[in-house]
Order: sequence, then structure tokens, then C-alpha cells
Amino acid sequence: MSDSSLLSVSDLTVEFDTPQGTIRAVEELSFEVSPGEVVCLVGESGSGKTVAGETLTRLVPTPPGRIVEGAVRFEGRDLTSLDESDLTSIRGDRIAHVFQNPQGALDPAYTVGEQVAETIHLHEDAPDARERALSLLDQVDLPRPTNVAEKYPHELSGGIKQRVVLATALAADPDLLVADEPTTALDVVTQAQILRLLADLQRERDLAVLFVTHDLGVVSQIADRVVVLYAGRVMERGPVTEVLGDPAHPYTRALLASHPGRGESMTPLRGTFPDPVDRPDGCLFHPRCPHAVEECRETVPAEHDVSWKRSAACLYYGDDYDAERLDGDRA
Amino acid sequence: MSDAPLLSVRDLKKEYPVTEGLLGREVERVRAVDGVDFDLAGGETLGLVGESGCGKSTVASTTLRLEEPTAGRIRFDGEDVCAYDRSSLQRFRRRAQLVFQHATATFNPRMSVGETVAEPLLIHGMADADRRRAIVEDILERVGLAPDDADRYPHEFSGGQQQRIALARSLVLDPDLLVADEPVSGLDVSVQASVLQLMADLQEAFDLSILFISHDMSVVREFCDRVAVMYLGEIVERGPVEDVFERPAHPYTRALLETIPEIDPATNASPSPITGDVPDPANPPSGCRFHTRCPVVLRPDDLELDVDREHWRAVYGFRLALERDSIDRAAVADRIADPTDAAIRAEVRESFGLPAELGDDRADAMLADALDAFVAGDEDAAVARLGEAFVSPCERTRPAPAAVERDHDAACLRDPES
Amino acid sequence: MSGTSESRDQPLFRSVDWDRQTGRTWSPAPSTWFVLAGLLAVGASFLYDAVVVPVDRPLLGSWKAPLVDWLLLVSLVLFVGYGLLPLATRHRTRKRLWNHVRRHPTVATSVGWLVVVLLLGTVGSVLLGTPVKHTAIPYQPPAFLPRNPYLPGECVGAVADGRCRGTLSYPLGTNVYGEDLVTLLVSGMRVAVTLSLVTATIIVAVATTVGTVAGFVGGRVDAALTSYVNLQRTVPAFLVYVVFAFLTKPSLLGLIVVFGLLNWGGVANVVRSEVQAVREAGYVRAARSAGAGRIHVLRHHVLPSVSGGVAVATTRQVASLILVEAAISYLELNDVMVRSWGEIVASGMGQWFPLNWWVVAAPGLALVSTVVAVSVVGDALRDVFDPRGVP
Repeated sequence: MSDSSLLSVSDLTVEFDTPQGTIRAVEELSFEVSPGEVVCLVGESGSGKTVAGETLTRLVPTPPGRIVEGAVRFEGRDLTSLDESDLTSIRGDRIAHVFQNPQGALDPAYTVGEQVAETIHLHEDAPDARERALSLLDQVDLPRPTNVAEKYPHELSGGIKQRVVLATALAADPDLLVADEPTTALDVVTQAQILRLLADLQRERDLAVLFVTHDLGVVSQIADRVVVLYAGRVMERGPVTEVLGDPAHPYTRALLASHPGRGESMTPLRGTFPDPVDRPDGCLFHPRCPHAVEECRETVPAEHDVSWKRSAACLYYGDDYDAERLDGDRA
Repeated sequence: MSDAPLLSVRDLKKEYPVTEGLLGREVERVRAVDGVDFDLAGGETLGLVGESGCGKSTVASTTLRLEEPTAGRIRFDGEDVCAYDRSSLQRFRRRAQLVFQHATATFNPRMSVGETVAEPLLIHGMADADRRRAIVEDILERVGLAPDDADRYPHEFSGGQQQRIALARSLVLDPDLLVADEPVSGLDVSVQASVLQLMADLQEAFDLSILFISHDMSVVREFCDRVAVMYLGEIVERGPVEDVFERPAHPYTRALLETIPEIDPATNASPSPITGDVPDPANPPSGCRFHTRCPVVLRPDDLELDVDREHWRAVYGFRLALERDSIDRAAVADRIADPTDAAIRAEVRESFGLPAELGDDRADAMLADALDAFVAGDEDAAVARLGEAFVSPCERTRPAPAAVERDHDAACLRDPES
Repeated sequence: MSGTSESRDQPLFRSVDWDRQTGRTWSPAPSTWFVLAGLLAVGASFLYDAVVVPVDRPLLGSWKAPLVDWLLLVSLVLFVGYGLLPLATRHRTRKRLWNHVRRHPTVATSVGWLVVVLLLGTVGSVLLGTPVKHTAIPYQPPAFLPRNPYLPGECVGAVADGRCRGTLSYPLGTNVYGEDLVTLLVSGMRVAVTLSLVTATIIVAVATTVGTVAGFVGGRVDAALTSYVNLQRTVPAFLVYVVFAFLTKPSLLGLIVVFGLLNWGGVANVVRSEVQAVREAGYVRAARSAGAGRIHVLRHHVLPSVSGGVAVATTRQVASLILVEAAISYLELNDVMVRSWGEIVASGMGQWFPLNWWVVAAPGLALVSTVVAVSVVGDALRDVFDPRGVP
């Protein structure tokens, strides 16, 4: 673990108790985010990406959730062992969250301007909160900030609401922004606008961003580095150009291949996601992997280096196997 | 198999009156669909794309007469859909099916999968429960589920599986036409791929025609034979999928395509998205509806000013904002700390990208005067001052579809070559 | 690859010749057959009694078949047909109800008690007949218990220490007329059952109809119906009955009719909002797009989802009605020939109270138990049918 990282997650494991059994949502998850960097956690349903994002500041309710092991170090302090009052001073102030549905983040009983101002108040004494709120609304590219500030959330469209939520998130000038699928509920054009806004803001403020998403297009647009998750474990990680341009792990390859409209023939990924209560032994992806061998069923693969700063959790990248065999269609 | 298209729609319109007061006085009309034409041949897939609110779902519901169209001709297999009597309409309901976006909401939680899939059979008079059961078990297998799943309940299945159940239900009456309204939105990419694959297989096996509605261009490119692009209730471009995607003629199509990021970041230029929001469908822009957001809106033919195209577009944008009431002095003043006239002027110049000098004395004078009027709070005068020089033919004339190449047309006044 | 087969054989759904399929066929559910048959039987018996059997002669045994009893029979047929029979086919509902009962002993006890009341009230009262007066032996105490010597009347059992002791011939004792309290209790059950079932039937029938029409049709019809319902809900049924009893004579039938016709408003509101919710539901849109008409939607989607809410709301009405009847008896506004629990309690609270405590205790306990049991079952129904409880 380098010391220069802003956020450093190591071996995080989170479980949930449900009537159907214990679900391991995240397992041995480790990654880092450096200041000013954009890291994407990519995965589909059940990958654990949302739980990972929420666990950072312990937003996950602890029953039924449980941090089994691991640490989340933010500027050197382990957030998993902080008490609630210290945590609240970090949440919103140093680490801000933006969620998928702006609905949940905005109180329907107050105007939008009041809510942004209130967030400012929460973190500092600010007599000029209202002006700063307006300025924030302007910074998120809202065309008529004074007008918008007077409106209630239900009077605004999804794209505008999400910008307001961004403004609220940035109110206390945080160091890290954790965004969980903030554009998924929006249509393509609005999504593109919000992403561009986010990229601009990130550059201007040198903000570190942890972006949780399933959309590879979004990832390619804004990420510096990517961490690919499947069923709670890391499958592959590395710089975005490499991971998306030349994917190493069979899951990443399959994910890219099942993306529509790329001109090559779309190949769906066979099989279904593992039952969260009854996960496969060994490599979690092996039941669906066209290249699985006996050993895949027995041992959980470690993350092997693929190249400088890139690794994949697949034994084909270990010493005993030849990664080039993954290029053929079948093992 | 005749050459006539299975479904032919001409000049389809759907308006919703907005009423106020006890007596329901009509205040305005929302023109959700305003003159849409398209054909769908047998066994073909036509994609209908556009942003949310462009009216594509309304096209689906009016084409199937789930809502009554305000105007237009719809012909299905040679028959006039709008003239159907009750029994013909019932037959139409059997031959044309709708697949909805979120499958979960379309299932009655109290009904088992088998009962849900069999419901259309029951509706159309199949009283024999055993026969229904047999058909359901057979069709469940064909969509990738097990016959036993008929006894389970929809909430026990994942999103992708629920969509398969919905597909099974839509096929059980052996339809000729399937209208799929965002059938794979909201599904994981890998699940989406397998559902799309299933739909493609089913289409081929059962010779279905599919009207595929989506906001996701990549999905449409993958799945459809032809595509029609909608904006604010109108079709702006249509043609074979590869032609439209490779050589988009309409500026809106081009802009939409630019918002699709390439997965391979090496080829990813940072896209410059279209600015602004979709205008209110109750008050659509005049002429070409896209002119308010169009990056290449036409200049007047007789423009005497010698102004750079980019600058002209910037001033035009300013005039549009004034005309559509989306900006006034007060709004700008609120944004800045010290709202002096000069500061306001500077702020306006900056937000609209108006350069200090336009390169033409007359143009500079017009702009300066307009800014003065604006600062004085008189938006109308500002608009008037910018006058004819900053008006576009695109806002006067509603463009008719013009052929770009064979079977590919776009409703734009521009010459497609430019 | 992803599960579809090539058309190795013609799929079954393609084998349907839709042009030959006849349109709608009327295929009523088994419940409807049962109810029709039951109503037919009751109707035929009623006609026989009305036309053939001379007035004032009993129809069967000693049963004179007053109107209230016919209404009870009709209600029983409807209750069994539309309430209990559907459980035989709806496995999932049956399982959920059973699981809930198993897991909550209070609910199990309550259901058990109500079953006892129902059976004894119907069958038992026929077997035991009307209470017989034995004026010589009033105020016998319950079995093996002593009674205060001041109480009048001979003693059936032994006298020990100057106190009369109860016997097993009258296990719960007797009242002032020497009527056996057990028989009285059972006749009280009969009254409670009649009151509950008949009123509930009226309420459910009217409320479901009005609520469904208002919710489904909407518009002006809905506005009109809702205004009426709101108006009606301000009318206190209790007072109306009192006035009615005063003007004519107090009667059980009168109580049933007044409450049945004035207390359905709340249930109608429940039905209406449920119907509105279902009307907008995605699955109704899907059914419509597949060609479903209003009847199909009503029958297959709206009414099944309404039944849970109706059951819950109606049990609440029943609970309060039983208490109201007790109050009316206490106020001596009831028909004294109708031996309800309230009547027994009221007649026992005369000059000898609390020496004749058993006359009040037995029916009092029965009253309380039944009201509590009905409330518990009502809550249990709500827990089971609340859509948020869907697993």
C-alpha cells in the first residue's frame, strides 16, 4: 500500500444475514484511490460494487450487514473502527456520496436552494450560505440558478435534480466523491452532460472520484483506473485503456463481448449469476468460463500480474499456465 | 408473402389537451406525436430511438390503438386499424403484442408464472385449462426456462428471467407483430445480451416483425435492421441501421451518436454533448423542432454580415434564449457578486461564448445594441435589434424528409453533404 | 446456446386455430357453482316454508324458521362458498394463512374459539334447543361451587354448610328463570353468529359493489358515490337503531338491517382505493394490451386483490357490532326474546348481583373472548394479506 493514496481499502469482506442464509456481498476487496484520481468499480448485479461504495463510510446498516474483516483507510485513519461521531464529521465533509436516484437524496418538503444551503451549514458556520449555494448551483451548469433554487424537487427533471445532488455533495469541498450509478436513471444525452460536468468539476477541484457503475461506456469516458468485480471479488484491475482495450480476465472479455452495437458480433455470456447464498467453490466465475479447468474449481485464484500496474485473478496468468490459451475460443 | 409492409403508419398524431378548472377549459395541447410516418415489413426489425419524452412510447401505444390517435392512418396487413370493429380489434390484439420495459410491474404478484403466461389464451377464449397448461410449458422451454417454473411466482426470478417470461407471454398468441418498448433497459449488460439473443432467435424462428423502441443506440444498432430517429414527436431521420449509423445525415442523429462513448478508450474523443434540455412538448419550437439545440443551424441565405459561422451560432444562441424566455437580466444578475451593467454584459458574453469582436462592424453594432437593451431589461428590444441577421430558415420552415441515399432520408434543410 | 431450441417441431402455441376458437365461454369458478346450488336449496326451502307449511307451525323439528334464520342460512352459504372454498384451490394463500396461524399461538387460539362459536352457534343451538324455564330452581351455582344463602330458590344439588352447591346437571348454573346457562350461552353464540355473518354479508356485498364501481368507473360516478359514502358515514347507526326500536319494536333483524345498511362506508373506501391501485397497475395494462375487456380485468385482477382488504375491514365492523349489541341489550333496547350474551348479562345485573355472579361471568367472558378473537383474527388477516408481506 502506497502512502500517497487518499483511500486505501484492504481485504474488505462484508456479509449480510438474510432469512435465506448468509450472503457474502464483498470478499477480500482491496483497492486504492489517489488524490485527484478517478477509479471505477465495475460490475453487474451481485458484484458487490454498491455495498463496497456504501461500506466505505459505513452507510450499510449493521444488522443485517457486517464487516467481517478488512480495513478502509482514509488519509491514514481506519474508517471501520471509528466511532459514529467521528464518522459523521467525515461523511459529507471529506467523503461525499452521490447515489443513483436523486429522489432519495432530496427532501420533497424543502426547496432545492434551502437544501444546498443546509448542507453548507452542516459542515461550517456560513453566514453567506445562500450565496454559496447559488454559486454551487451555477458551478454545476444549471442555467438559471436563482430560479432553480426556488423550486421544489418534484418540479425539476431528473438531470437537473442530479446536478443539484452534485452541488450538495460538493458543498463542503470534499476530497473524495463516491458516486454510485449517478447517471443510470437518466437518458443518454443527459447522462453525457452530467458526465462531462463531473469530469470538469473533478479537474477543477482535483477531486478524487470513486465511480461505481455497470456501464462500460461511462467507464471509458471518465476512469483513470478500473477495478472489475464479479460476485463480490476482484477479477481484474488496471488502467482503463488497458483493461478495456485489451481485457485479460475471461469475465472482462465476456463482458466486453456482450456489449451491443460494437460492430463485432455480440456474444452473450452463458449461464447465470451465482446464487449469493450458495457461491461456487474455487474461482467464482468458473461455472461460466469457457476456459475453466479442474484447478479453477478447487482454488480461488490469486491476482496475478498481467503487466505493469495490471493484474487479473485468473490462474492462466500464473506461472503454471499460458495466458495465450485464453485467446482461443475454448480451453 | 406480399411485398406490402405488414405495418404502415402515415401522419400519426397524438395530442393531449391540458385542462384547467372545473369545466375543463383547455389551456394548451401537448403534441406528443406530431406527424410520424414509417413502414415495417414482415420479418423485419425497425428501431425507434430518441431521448425520453420524444414520444416513442406514445407511438407504440397509438399504433396498437391502446390509446386513440388524434389523427393518422394505420394499416396492418392491408386493413385500416382505426376502422376496426370490436371483433376485428380483438383479432388485432391477438396478432400484435406489446412487450413492456419493466417486466416485474406487468406481472400480477398473486398469479403464478403459468397463470400469467396463459392469461392471453384465457382472454381470447381458450377455456381448456389442460391445453393452456401444455402450451405454457412448451413455450417456457423455448424461452430458456423449465416447464416446472410455471408453478413458481414471478418475484422468484431474476430480471433477465422475468423478461423471458414476458416474452413468452407475448408470443403465446402467435402474433405477427411485436412492439417492444425498452425491453432490455435496466438489465445488466450480460443479461441484456442473452435476452437480445433470445429475441433474435425467436424472431427468426417465428418470423416476427418487431418495432423496437429504445433510447440506447448501441442496442438498436445490434438488433435492428432499420432505424427511425425521433425528436420531440417527429421522425428526423430513418434508414437502414448501418447507413444511418455510419453516415448520419441529421444533426440530431449525429449528436446522439456522439454521446455513445466507444468502449475502447483509445478511440474515445471527449464528446461534446448537445446543450440544454428537450423543449416542452406543449410549446415546441417553430419550424424544425431541433433548431434550438442544433449545432449547425442554417444561417440565412441572404446574410450580408461577414461573420464567422461559430460566432454567428453563438449570437444566434443568445437570441434564441431571449426569445424563448430562458434568460433575463435578473437571472444573470443573481449569478454575479457585483451586478453592474458592465459585469452583466461580460457575464452574458461569457455564457454564450460571444466574442468581443465579431469581425463585422454592423454585426458588432447590432450585438452591442442588443446587449444594451438586455441590460436595460428590455428583452424584446434586444431580440428585435438582432433582427433578421440572426434568424435562421430552420425556425421558419418545417423540413420535410429529404432523401440522403437509397431508402435513407432525413428531415433537415441542410444539404446532407455539408 | 442461450436456451432456445430450433423449431425441431411445431411449437404448441402455433397449433391453435384462432379463427375457429369460439369467443368467450362462461366458465364460472367452483365457488360460484357451490353458491348457486346452496342458494337454490335455501330458496326452495324458504318457498316451501312460506307456501306449504302453515303459519306458526315449525318447519323442521321445533325450528319455526324466522326470517333472521333464513338470512343466516344465505350468509352461511356465501361465507363458505366465497370465503372458505377458494382456500381449497389457492394453495399459496392457504399456506400463508396456515403458517401464520402456526407461528402465532394467540391467533391459533382465537381462530379455535371462533370455530367453536360458529359450530356451537349453528349446529349446537339446534341440538340443544331453546332454554327451558324451571322457575323452581333459579340461581343454581356452577358445578361444585357454593352460592350465597341469600339467593332464593331450591337447590338441585347438595347443601353443605348451609350453602347450596352446584351440580353437573347445570354445569354453569342457572339464571333467574332456572334456565340452564350452558344452553343460554349457546343461544348467545347463535345470536352472535347470526348478527356477525348476516351483517357482514350485507356490508361486504354493498361495499364491494359500490367501491368497485366507484374505483373502476371513476369520474362523476365516483365523485357522486364518494360524496354519498362520506355523508352516510356521518350517520350513527346506533342512534338510528334506537330511534327505530323506539318507533317500532326492538328486533334483531332491525339491528342487523340498520347496521348492515349504514356501516359499509368504511369498507367501500378500502375497496375503492384498492381498485384504483389495481386499475393503474402494469399487469392490467399488459392484460388490456393483450385484448382483455373490463370484465376479465375485474374478475381476474381487481376482485381477487380486493378480497384481503375487505376481509380485514369487515372483521373490524363485526367486532364493534358485537359490542354494540351488548350495549343495546344493557340499555334494554333489544328484543328480550333474543337471548344474546348481552341480554343474559343485562338480566343478570339485577338486584341480586354480585351474588349471582355466574350469570354475568359466563356470557361476559364469552363476549370479551369473541370480540378479542375477532380483532386478533382481523389483525392476522391484515398481516397475511398486506402486499408488503409478499415474500
